[in-house]
Order: sequence, then C-alpha cells, then structure tokens
Amino acid sequence: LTRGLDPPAGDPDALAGAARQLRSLAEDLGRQEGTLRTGFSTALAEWHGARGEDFRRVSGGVQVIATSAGAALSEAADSLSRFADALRDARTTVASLASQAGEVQAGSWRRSGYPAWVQPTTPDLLRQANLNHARMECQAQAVHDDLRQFAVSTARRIADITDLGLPGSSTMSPQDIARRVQDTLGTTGLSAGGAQSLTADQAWQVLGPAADAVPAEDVDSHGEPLWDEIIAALGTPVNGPVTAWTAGTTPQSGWALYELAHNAAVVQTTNASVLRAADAVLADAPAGDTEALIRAASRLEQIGYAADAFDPAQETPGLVRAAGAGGLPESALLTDLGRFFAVAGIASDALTVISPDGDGAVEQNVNRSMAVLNAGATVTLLATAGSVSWVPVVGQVVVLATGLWLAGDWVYNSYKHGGWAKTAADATGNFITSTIPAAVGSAASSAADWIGDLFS
Amino acid sequence: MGIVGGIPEEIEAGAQSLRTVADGLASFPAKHNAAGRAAASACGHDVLALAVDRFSACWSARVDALAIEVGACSMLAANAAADLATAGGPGPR
Repeated sequence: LTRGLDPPAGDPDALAGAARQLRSLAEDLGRQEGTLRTGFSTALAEWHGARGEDFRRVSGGVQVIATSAGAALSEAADSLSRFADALRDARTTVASLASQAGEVQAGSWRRSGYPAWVQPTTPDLLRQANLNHARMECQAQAVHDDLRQFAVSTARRIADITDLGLPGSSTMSPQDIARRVQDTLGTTGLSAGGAQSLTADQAWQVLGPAADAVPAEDVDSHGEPLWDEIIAALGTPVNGPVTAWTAGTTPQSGWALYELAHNAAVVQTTNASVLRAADAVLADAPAGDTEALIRAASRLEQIGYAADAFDPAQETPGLVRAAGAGGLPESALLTDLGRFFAVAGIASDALTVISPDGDGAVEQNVNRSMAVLNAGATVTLLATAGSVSWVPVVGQVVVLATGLWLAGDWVYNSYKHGGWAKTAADATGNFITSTIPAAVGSAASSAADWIGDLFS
Repeated sequence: MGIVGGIPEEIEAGAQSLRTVADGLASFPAKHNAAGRAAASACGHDVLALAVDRFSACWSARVDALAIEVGACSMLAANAAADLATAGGPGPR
C-alpha cells in the first residue's frame, strides 16, 4: 500500500476511553464541588470576625478554581471524544479505500486474462486500473489531511483551555507548566495531606492567591462566588442586547470571560515579544508621572499598530480563543476579527482617555475624544478587514468594551502598587459605563453609525 | 489566629467537610495524568499529543494545588473552632 492508503495513526478506542476517564474525573470534581460548597457555607455560617471574612474570600476563590477545573476537564474530554470519533471514521474510510484499491488492481489483472504472477500487457486495462488506484489514493490522502487539520484545531482548543489555567502555557514544556503552576500558587513541595501540618500563617500564605482570585464583593456571605454578578460584570454597563448576550452564558463561560477580563497575565503573554516591548515601555513610565505616561501611551500605540499586522493564527494564542473556550456566543466573530492585539493599541488609547495630553480642558477633551475615536476606528478597521463582511453593533461594543476592560485591568495589574493605576482602571470602567450604554441605546444600525453616534 | 466569633461545632463540621474534599481531590492528579498519558499516546498526532500533555500538566497541578488549598482551609477552620471552644463557646458576632 502507498502512504495515502495507510491507516491514520492512532487508537480511537483507547482515545475514547481516555476521554471517558477525563469526563468521569470532571463529574467527580463536580460532586466534590457540592461538598466544598457545603463545607465552606457551614463553616462560614458560624465563623465571624476578621478571619471569618478572610475565609469567605478564600472560599470564593477556591470555588471558582474548582468550577474552572471541572469545566476544563469536561471541555477537554469533549474535544478528545470528538477527535476519537473522527479518527475512527477516518481509519474506516481509509481502510475501505485501500480495500477498493486492492480490488481494482486484482480485478484489472483478472480481466486481462493473465495469471497474477504474469506481468499483464493490456495497456488500457492497466491504465484504467492505475487511474482508479490513484484516485482512491488521493481520496485517502484527503482524509489524512482533514484529520490532521482536525488534530491541529483540537490541539488549539485544548491549548486555549490550558491557557485559562496558566496563561502563556502554549510555549512551555509540560514539566515547566507544572512547575510554574506550583510556583505561582506557592504550593511547591506541599501535598494535600501535608497542608494539615502547616502553621496558620503558612496556610494563609498558601491561600493568598485564592483570596485574591475573586474580589470580595463578588463572593456572598456563604462564601459562594456571585456568578451572576461576575458574568454581568462586562454586560452591566450595557443595556439591551449585550445584557441578554451576557446573561445567556454559562458559569463556565462566565469564568472564562472573568479570567479574560481580570487576568492581566493573559494579555501580557498573548504575544511575548510585543508585550515584552509594551511592558518595557510602561516600565519607563514612573508611577504618577503623567507626561511619561503619555509618552508611553504613544509608543504603545505604535506597538499596537505593528501588532495589528501579525497573523493572529500564529501570534495570538489564547486571548480571543479563550473566549471561544468559554463558549461566548460571538466568539467565532471575535476570532475572525481577531486581531485582539489591537488590545495593545486600544490600551494606549485607553491610557490617553484616562490621562489626555494638553494644558487646557478643551485640548484634553479633544485628545480624549480622538483616543476614543481611534479605539473605535481600530475596531471598525478590524471589522472591515476581517473575513466577515458585516459586524453587528453589539459585536463592536463587546470588542471595544472588552478591549478597554482588559486595558484597564492590564494597567491596574501591571502597576498594582501605583495609585494612578487604580485610578486608570477606575476611569476605564467609568468610560465604559458612561459611554457604551448611550451608544447602544441609540440603536445604531452599523458600526459607522455607532461611532458617529458616539461623538454626535 | 485573630478575633474569632461563632459556634465552634458548626465551624468544625465545615472543617470536616473540607477535609473530606481535600482527601478526595488528592488522588485526582494521578488519575488525571494517567488519562492524559493514555490520550496523548492514542491520538496519533504529535501536535495534539503535546497539547494534551500540556493540558494534563497544567490542570493536574491546578487540582493538586486546589487539594492543598482546601486542606489548608480545613486546617484553619478546625483551628478556629478549637480556639473558639477554648475561649468558651459562641463569641461576639
């Protein structure tokens, strides 16, 4: 047999079995989540005082991570199960083609009247047989190619889910990933059993990342994450369709979105080279120095423009596709628009919105408006340059809101200890809450109208 | 430990539940890694196998850390209950 007629590599039954194991683990984790919820709720119902409040925050973070892990396992299991089905189908199809190709060869020899061990000399029969054989080989090769593409897209999807657990993991070795997770969470060298022998101070230290994972206001008195509010966090400022769009998401997708909006590391690792450069620019801007900040914003903008030219398929792991992993309804659209590297550009605009250059109030407002316009225009350009010809206004709003949200959080998380960073993040949020509802409320029917309405 | 108030028995009950979860989660990473290895070796494509390996490494470490965190929570809740019991029962709310 030739290569195209070789069966595709892999064992679909073993793969389906492994996917079932992952699914079973996800279900098991779901059951553990129930006990976890009860345990926290029971303890918190009668635990009061400062440490009880700390414990409530930890509870929210731990439960968010547990939900996230269950969603990740479930999603990966589904993806692998679908690939196992595709692998099985491909192997069956190629085996059938190989069998047919063998029949064609044998049939032509029989029809030639010669015994199989004699070299046949009937040219037309042989030519036809060869053509048929080649056609089947081509068909088999196409099956191989389709399967390989599906393997790549499945790998990408799984990489996105991995990215939610550890941003930037797509370029790391599995060993480094495990080490990084442990280092980041401060659990290196510890085990679940060993946690019982920690001192109280050590335990609180281990729980620091969990306590910081969810803002205190997003955790209820029972220590349960307020999923509705977390999900609505992006949509709240926006009336109408975007609210409905947001409310339709699941807790898992809400978490994905939440991660997306709040984990600055996702943005920072979306493209190592560009964002390293961006970081370097921001690092040059001393906290509180508005002039330096404006210069940094300008340089960031240039980086953003350069980043726009990147091939998103190659250069934008995670960020937009992470939204897809969360099942956001417009994720395909966002992926197509994709150049979320414009986030870098929008980030610079956001910075200008927050701290416009110029001496007088009028000049500052003009600069502020231009920055907003540029952010909007970037989105519009992305829309028109993308593979989709029409972008609903809701998509525009989501892209812009998300971009600004990310930008604000990026700034905030990059400079947690700088007072201006908090102000910047707040200002970004205020911009979203004050401007976007009006834009959507105007019932603009196109992106251009929307942009126009924004400044009319 | 800081100021604690409440009913120690209830807090202790919560601590026990958390301890159960921590014990249950402790075996997850090994099972997860085994399933991941099986999937990676059966999928037949290097690019997918590597993605699965990364996924397993990341999320099994995450769940491992989760087990440790829940274990720490259990311990802290138990300590709080013990402190409160020593202090003589329900404290200020």
